[in-house]
Amino acid sequence: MNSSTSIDTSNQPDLIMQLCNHFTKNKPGLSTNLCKTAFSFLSSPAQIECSVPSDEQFVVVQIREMLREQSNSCEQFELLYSNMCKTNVLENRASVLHFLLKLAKMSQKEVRWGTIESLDRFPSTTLTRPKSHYFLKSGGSQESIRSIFQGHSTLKSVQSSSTNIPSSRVTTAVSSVWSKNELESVSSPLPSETNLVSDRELLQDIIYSFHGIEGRFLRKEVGGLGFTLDPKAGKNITPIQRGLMERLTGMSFLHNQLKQYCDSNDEQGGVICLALIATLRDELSSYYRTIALLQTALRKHPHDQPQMNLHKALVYIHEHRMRFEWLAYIAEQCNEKKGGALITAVHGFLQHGSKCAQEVSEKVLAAVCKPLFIMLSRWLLDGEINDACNEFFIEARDIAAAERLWHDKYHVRKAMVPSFITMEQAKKILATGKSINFLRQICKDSGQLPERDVLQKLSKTTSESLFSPEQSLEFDSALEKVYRETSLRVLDLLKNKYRLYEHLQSLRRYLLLGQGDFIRHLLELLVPELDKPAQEIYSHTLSTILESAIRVTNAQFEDEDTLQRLNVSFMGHSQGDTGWDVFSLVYIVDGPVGTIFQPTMTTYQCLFGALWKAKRMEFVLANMRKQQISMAKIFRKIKELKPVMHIIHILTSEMIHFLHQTQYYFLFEVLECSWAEMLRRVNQAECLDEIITAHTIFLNSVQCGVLLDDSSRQLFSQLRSIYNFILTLEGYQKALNEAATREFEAFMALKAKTEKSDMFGMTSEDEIIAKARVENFHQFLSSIRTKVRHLAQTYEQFVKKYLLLLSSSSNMNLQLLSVRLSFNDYYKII
Amino acid sequence: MSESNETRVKDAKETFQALMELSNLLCTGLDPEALSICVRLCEAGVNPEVLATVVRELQKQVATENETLKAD
Repeated sequence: MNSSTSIDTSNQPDLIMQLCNHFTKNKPGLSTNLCKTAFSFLSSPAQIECSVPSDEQFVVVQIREMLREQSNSCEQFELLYSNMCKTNVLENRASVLHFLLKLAKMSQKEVRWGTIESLDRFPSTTLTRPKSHYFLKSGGSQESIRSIFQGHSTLKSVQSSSTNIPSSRVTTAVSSVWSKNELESVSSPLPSETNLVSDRELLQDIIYSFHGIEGRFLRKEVGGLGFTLDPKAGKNITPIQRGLMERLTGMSFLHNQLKQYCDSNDEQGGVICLALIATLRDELSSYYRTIALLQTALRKHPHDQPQMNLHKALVYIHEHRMRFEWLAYIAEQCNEKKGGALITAVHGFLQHGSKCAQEVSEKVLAAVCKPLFIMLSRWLLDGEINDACNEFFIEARDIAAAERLWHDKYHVRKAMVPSFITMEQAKKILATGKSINFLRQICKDSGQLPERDVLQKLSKTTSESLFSPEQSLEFDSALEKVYRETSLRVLDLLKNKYRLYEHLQSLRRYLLLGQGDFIRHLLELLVPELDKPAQEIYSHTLSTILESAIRVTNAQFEDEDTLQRLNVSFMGHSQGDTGWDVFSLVYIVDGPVGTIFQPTMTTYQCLFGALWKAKRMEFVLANMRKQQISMAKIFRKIKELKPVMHIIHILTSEMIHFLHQTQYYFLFEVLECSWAEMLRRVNQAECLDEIITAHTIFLNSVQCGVLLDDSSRQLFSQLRSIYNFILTLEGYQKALNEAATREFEAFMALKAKTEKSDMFGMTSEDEIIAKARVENFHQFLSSIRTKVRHLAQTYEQFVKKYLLLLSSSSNMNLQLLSVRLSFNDYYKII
Repeated sequence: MSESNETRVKDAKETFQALMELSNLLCTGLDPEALSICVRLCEAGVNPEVLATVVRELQKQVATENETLKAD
């Protein structure tokens, strides 16, 4: 600054002279006078004192303060100042501003303190003075800047009235040029020396943008939803206005976002999504109402000062803005979601700390829950699902058979369960509707269900009962009640009308061999038939045998219905199978109880197979023992038979002991205990599911007990080998019996022959034949003896292995069985 | 070269226009010519406060002169 001062100092006096001359245009005499005054001031020591270079910001603040009293000029100043700052034309901007400020302060003081005289003297200081227009002729010379400040001759200026040159001619000419500007100034209360955009215009634009329409100043963002100020049109907008506009356009952005969400999701999505959209549209229309009010307020005073400005507009829409912010957020969260998932998303906002968020989300939630609640009531009341878009949290699938309705048709859609419904509740809801469907479709029971009125009463209240914590208890209790009543109804029907207990009993009697005499008799009758290869067995022969078995035993007193359900069946057989491998009894269950029993029928077949086999072994062993006794009597004379028979006898006893213990374990420890447990559970059951569970548990425990489960597969195969030993031994004994009989008969025949003829009737030929026969028999005996001995050895090995497996089992009962089988440590397995 | 000149001139014009408006806004009572002289003085490094006092003083004197003329 100093350097520049030193250069230009020479100019200063000239300039001051010029200034003085300018002020006293008409009176050259005065000019010298003025010059004197000016120089005296400038050369006074005050200049040195006051020459503190002032801070630009400080000056700006002071100007702002001064202008604050005038409504619009502050903004105008900001605009002017920012324009000034854009270029570096002024080297000493602070100084210039300071000068202006000082001058203004002084004149202001005079206005304040002065008389009417002073007002007259400085008419230009009042606000009402006519506008001064001027324009600049552009100069292309290098010195143009200087010329602008210097050459006032090039400034074709209309002097303000303070210069006392009323050049009306020029004024009119210029005003015609500026007429456009003047027209604008009609609407603006302030003299528009600038092209300042009025709040009114901006507001109109804002209102357009609130509807999502582009205006003069606001342009849509490319590829975006928001609006931006058009840089060209918005040149003359003050920073304050700009800031306000930007805040207001935020609203437009939110509006566009919501509208876009509404439009894009309108067609797709289900009823719940539509409910959300309807709520959003509702909010939008109330927002449009506010905008309309804003528009009216803007138009109300077309000639007066409009009451609406950007600040007020901001307040006007503030509430909507808050709501819209949350709505937009909710809508964003709900995007791509539907049904229960959507409700869960909205429900998350209910716990929000912000009151506005709570209100908004509550409103939205109430709306989206309404369709859900309707679906829910229909499901709970009528068991109907009307859910075209898969929004409900219970889904119905296609099922192949009616028996599968309970198991397969209805499912909980986990993703669609709203967060305010617990999984337990969802399961209850599922069970209730399922029960209704079960009653209607399977039981053909169309009677009025009890307790419907509770729910109906509930449905008359609002859907808010679903999520509001105060009423959720009520909902829960109503649900509980309906659930229990419906379940009880189902149980009542099953137990009384469809005789659940009788079916359970029959299954136990016939498939689990509870009816001993019948089974025993059936076994006896079936032996010749089942010994045949599997291919040669015909079901009609077996059916006849079954019939006769029923007729002879206590089974004949059984209910007719039960007996009709009983039948024989064959499992698929392969080469070498005998009838024993494929035979099975079946019990046909249909109707409502089929829901419980149908899925378990294969398990029953397996259980029957295992038990049947054990039963058969028992039968075989009993027959063997019988034969042994008769053989001992008949063949008392054949001494050679005794050692063999002795071995067989011992082995049979071992087997009988083994089998009896096994049978005992199966029938008493496994079957009876499980049965008692199941009966207890079934009696306590409150719904069909519990009965099904109890039954399944029963079957599983029996399956586990008779060594049919996965963990005891090895045990079971061991057991089967042991069974096979029994059968082998039976075969040996049979062969032995036959051989012995033949020998005995031949011997007897020989004896009779010798007795009939004379003393020496026995020819040498006979003798040779008899000798050979006896030799043969002895050979056979010794071979049988080796075989049986070998069998006894391997049998013992297998039993030992089996016992080892049993004792190493984690099941306590199996360990005890092992102890019992190897009583007094007979087998010495360790 | 000429282009930068043009922009400079345009800038100068705009700045002056802004100053003029500001001057009006602050009711200094300066016409464009007086303002341009004052701005140049300021740019030259004259103490703005003193300059303001001078200008005010000059304006006052001119006013009194006018008054006396009128009175005459």
